[in-house]
Amino acid sequence: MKRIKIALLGIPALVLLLISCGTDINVSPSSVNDRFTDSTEGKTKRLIPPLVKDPKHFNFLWCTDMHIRTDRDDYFPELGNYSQKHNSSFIITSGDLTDGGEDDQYDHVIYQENRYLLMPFYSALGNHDLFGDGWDQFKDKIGPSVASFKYGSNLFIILDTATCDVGRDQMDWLEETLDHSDAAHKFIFTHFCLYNQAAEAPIILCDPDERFELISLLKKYDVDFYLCGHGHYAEETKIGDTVQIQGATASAWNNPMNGDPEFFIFSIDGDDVDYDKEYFKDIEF
Amino acid sequence: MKKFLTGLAILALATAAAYAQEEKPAQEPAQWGYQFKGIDYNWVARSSAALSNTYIQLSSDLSFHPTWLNLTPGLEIDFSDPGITRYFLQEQINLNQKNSVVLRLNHWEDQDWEIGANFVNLYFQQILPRLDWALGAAYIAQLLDDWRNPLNFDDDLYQLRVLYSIGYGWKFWKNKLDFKVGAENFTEYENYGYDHLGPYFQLGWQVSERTHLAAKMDLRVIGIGTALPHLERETYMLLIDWRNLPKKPKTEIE
Repeated sequence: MKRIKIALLGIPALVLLLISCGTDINVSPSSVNDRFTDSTEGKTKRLIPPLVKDPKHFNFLWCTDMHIRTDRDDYFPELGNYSQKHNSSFIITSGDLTDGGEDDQYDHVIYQENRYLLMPFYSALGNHDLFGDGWDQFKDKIGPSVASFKYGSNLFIILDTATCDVGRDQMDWLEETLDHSDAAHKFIFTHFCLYNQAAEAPIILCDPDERFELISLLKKYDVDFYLCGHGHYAEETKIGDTVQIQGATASAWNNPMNGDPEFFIFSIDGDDVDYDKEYFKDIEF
Repeated sequence: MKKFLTGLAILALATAAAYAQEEKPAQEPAQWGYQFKGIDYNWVARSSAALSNTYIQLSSDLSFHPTWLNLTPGLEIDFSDPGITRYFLQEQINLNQKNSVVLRLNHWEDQDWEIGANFVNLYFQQILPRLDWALGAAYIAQLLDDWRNPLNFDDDLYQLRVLYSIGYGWKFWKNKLDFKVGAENFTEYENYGYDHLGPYFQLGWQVSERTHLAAKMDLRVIGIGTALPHLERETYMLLIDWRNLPKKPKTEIE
């Protein structure tokens, strides 16, 4: 019985130790509130919105979980080829751009971006992007963790859920951004999804209350698309009138659990938004 | 303040009702009939990004058959900001003194967010002198429409979840005080997330044979699955448990 007692006391003690090891009872390298402050106070590389050519007729590419490493192949050449062929206005990902948040991985992303892409490239922050001193690298080389820009009458929001939370400051900012928007279509790009079908798995936003609050904002402000990743599993769900797409990976070496590595092309044609899934294996290069 | 006073009034009424029938002897086992078993009154302070309010919880245990029909209605109201309301109705089948099966229908709604959820929690629980544990499953219907309806189990956004709870406690100081540690991914009022884990610690005081007071702290850590763990939520509770036990006859001193 003594052993059980020690074991039972040991588990919470270990958790407390883990918690207390970090500053501000936080062992993650940066908190969502810190990253929000850095991003909104201009302490990151500036996000330059895409040049608007035709505000009513354009397309963009979306993918997630590229997991870029210097020692592995990636799909930048295919993305570059496809985006040029379709005259895409920009490319955006939902995080886990790098596999380990390392300096040379971010440098490799920039190298590949400059080599293959002729249009702006944006990314939300993923948990893998934060490993090590990932946030310091991301904010200097990629951009802010939270941002919004307009293209015609469409609103694009990059939201930071990399540490599996949204935080009060960012939630308030999101509501304010949506409240002040008169956009016809609203898109949110972020790493963690709000829902996975049937059995809840530990791959969605952690705190159910934050999920509920975010879902309520999607409903209240008629958000059209919530585009997320992390699960490495392709799944599409309707959350009220919002389409949530959990993208599979866009990685040349880290295959999704179902299907093949993929990306999406979103085409805006006046008031209509269409989207198609494309597999990298089908892209000629 | 209004809701706090309402809560106190409900508590006072429930206590009065309990005292009004306390002289009745306890029902014999295996008999159908009404018996008021006791009440729980809790004061809860939750602190997280989404919730930073104080709540009161009130539930009463009613028995109509010691084995087959033991009902517990419960209500939680947010008295600092009338946003969130939770309530439940629970049925507990007592297999014997230690083991039971619990079926609970939980409703949660937020007037500000205009959404709600209904849970069906079904689990087996065992209560031993020092160790108690529970294991079961939940069906959760998240509601964007008709979110006030406690019987809406719409499967548009449903989720299934494993429920678990384990606690280990012991008594000390003349058996008047008790201490308990444990971990759980649900309470009577809410279900936590999958990657939303943490321990709880509870210090109790057996004030009298019928009344137990306890202070409980629950910590929720998120991001363990992403290797970026951090404390996301702290909950502090003051728990008052009153059991409607028959009074023991006073022994005469010779």
